[in-house]
Amino acid sequence: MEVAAAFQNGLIGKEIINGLQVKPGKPVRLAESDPCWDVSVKGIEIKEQELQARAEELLELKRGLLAEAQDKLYASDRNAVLVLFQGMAGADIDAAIQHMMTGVNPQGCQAFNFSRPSTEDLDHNFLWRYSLALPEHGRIGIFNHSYYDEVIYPKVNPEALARQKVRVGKKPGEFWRARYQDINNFERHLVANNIAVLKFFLHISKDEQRQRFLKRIYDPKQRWRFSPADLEERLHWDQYLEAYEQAINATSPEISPWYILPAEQAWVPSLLAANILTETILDLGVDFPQVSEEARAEQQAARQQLEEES
Amino acid sequence: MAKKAAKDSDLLELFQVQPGSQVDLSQHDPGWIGSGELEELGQEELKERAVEILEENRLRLAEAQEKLLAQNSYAVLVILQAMDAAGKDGIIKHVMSAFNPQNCPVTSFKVPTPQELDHDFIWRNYKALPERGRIGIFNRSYYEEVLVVKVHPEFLEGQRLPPGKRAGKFWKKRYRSINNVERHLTINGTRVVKFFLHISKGEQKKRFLKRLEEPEKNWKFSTQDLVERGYWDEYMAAYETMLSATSTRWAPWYIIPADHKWVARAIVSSILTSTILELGVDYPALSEEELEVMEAARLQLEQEG
Repeated sequence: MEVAAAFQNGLIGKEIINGLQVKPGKPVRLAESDPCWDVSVKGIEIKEQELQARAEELLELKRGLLAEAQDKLYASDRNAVLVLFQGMAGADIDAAIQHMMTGVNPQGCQAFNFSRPSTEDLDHNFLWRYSLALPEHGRIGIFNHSYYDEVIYPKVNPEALARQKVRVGKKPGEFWRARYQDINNFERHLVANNIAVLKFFLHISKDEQRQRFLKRIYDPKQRWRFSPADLEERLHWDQYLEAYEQAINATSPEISPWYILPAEQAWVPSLLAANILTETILDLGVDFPQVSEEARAEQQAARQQLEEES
Repeated sequence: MAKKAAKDSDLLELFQVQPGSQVDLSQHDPGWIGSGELEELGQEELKERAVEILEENRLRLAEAQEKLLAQNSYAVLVILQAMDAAGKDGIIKHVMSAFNPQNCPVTSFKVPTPQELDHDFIWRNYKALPERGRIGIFNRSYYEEVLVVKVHPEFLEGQRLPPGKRAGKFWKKRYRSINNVERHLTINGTRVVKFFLHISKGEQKKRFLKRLEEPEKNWKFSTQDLVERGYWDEYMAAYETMLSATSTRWAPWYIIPADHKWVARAIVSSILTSTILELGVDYPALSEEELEVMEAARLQLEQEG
C-alpha cells in the first residue's frame, strides 16, 4: 500500500528502493518475482496506461535532480558510478538507458554495449574487456550487458568456454562459484577505489518477450533489432532464468547490490533506475568544489580586471 | 516538411565556410538572431522560439540517429571548437541529450599527457573516433594544434618534433595533414562536421563575470582563462587562418553565432540533422530470404500465444 500512496505522491523513497534490492541471505526467486510493478491500492486497480503516464511524468519531474547530482559528481571529479544492466532479450535495455539518461549531460557519461566477444577479447581473461571500459573519476559508466554475461551465456552454451580456452573441469559447481567469487572480488576492488557499483536486472516474463519480439517484427523501424537467433535463445528461457537467479543470488553483497526492476511497463524501469542512481550519487556526498581563500582572492582580482576593461 | 528542409539548407549555406574562401571574422556577427520576425522578439521570446526549434529538431535528430545506427555504415564526427565560455558544454548537453549515450560518445581533449606527446599530434584523437552507426563528439580536437599552439608556439618544444623551422610552411603542413586525414575518413564512411562557436569579446566578458558571481560556477573559472583572453586578437587571427585553410568540400566548417546560447543550439541541431539525413541513411531493407525467416519467426511466436 505504501507503494501506491508513494507513487501517487511522487515519492519513490528508500523503502521502495529497498524492496527492489536483493539482500544477502534473502535469495530472490525470479519465476515468482513480479515483472510488473504493482501499485494498485486494495480493490482499486490503476490502469496500465495511467501507470505508464504517471511513471513518465515522475521521470520527467526527477530529471532535474539526476542532472544536478551528476553535475556535482562531475565537478568533484573524485568518485565514479558504474551502472550495469542485464536482462533477457526483449527486456529493452537500450530504451531504459536512453530514458534514464535523457537530460543528463552526455559528457559526464560513458556508455558501452557489450555483445559477442571479439577474437581479441577471447584472448584475454573474462574480465579484461570490461575493465578497460570502466568510468573515470567524476563519470557515470553504463554497461549494456556486462561481465555477468560470462556467468550466464556460457552456462547455457558450454562451447563458449572452449572459445575462451577455458575448461570447466570435473566440478562445474566449483568452477561457477569461483567465477562468482572473482566477480565479487572485482566489485569490491572497484568500490574500495571510489567506483560505486549498481546492478539492474530488467525483469520481463516469457510471454512479454514473445509480445515484444512480435512488435519488432511488425514494425519496419524496429525490425532490424530482431534476429532469428533470439528465437533460438528463447527455447532455453528456463535455463537462462535459472542461470540469472543463481548468479544474482551469489553476487549481491551490500556494497554492490542487485536490484530486480519490473520491466514490463513502459517508463517504470527507467524511473526506478534513475531514482536509485540519483540516491546513490547523493549518498556519495559529492558537491561543487569549494574555492580556496587563495583562489577567491585571485577571482576577486580577475573580476576587477574584467570590470575595468573598456 | 519541404519547407522545413528548405530552411535547413539555408542555414547550411549561411554559416558554411565556402572552401577556398578567406574568412574575415569581423564580417560574421556573433549576435546574429535571424531575420524578419525574430529580430522583433525580445530576449525571452527569442529564447522560447529557439527552444521550440530545438525541440522540433530533437525528434528529427533522434530519428536520423536511429537510422544511422540501423544502417550501421556511416559514422559522424562532430568537432566543436571555440573560445572559453562560448558554450561548447551547453551545445553537447542540449543538442545531444535526447540520444542514447551508447550511440554518441563524447571525448573532451585537454592538455596532452606525456604519453600522448610521444605520438604525432593526431594520434590521441584518432583513437577516439566513433564506430560505424555512431555520432562521436570531440569537445576540442586536433585543431588545438593550430590554435592554442599557434598562439603559444613555445608549446611545440614539448612535442619533441624533428628539427626544422616552425613558421609559415610548418603550419601549412599541419593544415594539409588535417585535410588529408579528414578526406580519408570521409571516403571511408566517417562524415566530419565542424562547428566554430563564435562569441564576441564582450559576451565572453559577461559570461566570465557570471561564473565569478555564481557560487556553483566558481569552480569552473580559472585565472588562466583571463590570461588567454589577453591573446584574443591572436586567437581570432589563428581561427581565421584555420577556417580558411581547413574548410574543405568534404569537411566544411560552420561559423555559428554564439552570443545567444539558444540560437546557437538551434542552429547546430539543424545543421547536424541535415548532415545526417544527407547521408541517405535508412532502416535496412530485408532480402527475400530474410523476409521468409522473419515470417516463419512471426508464425512461430503467434502460435505460442
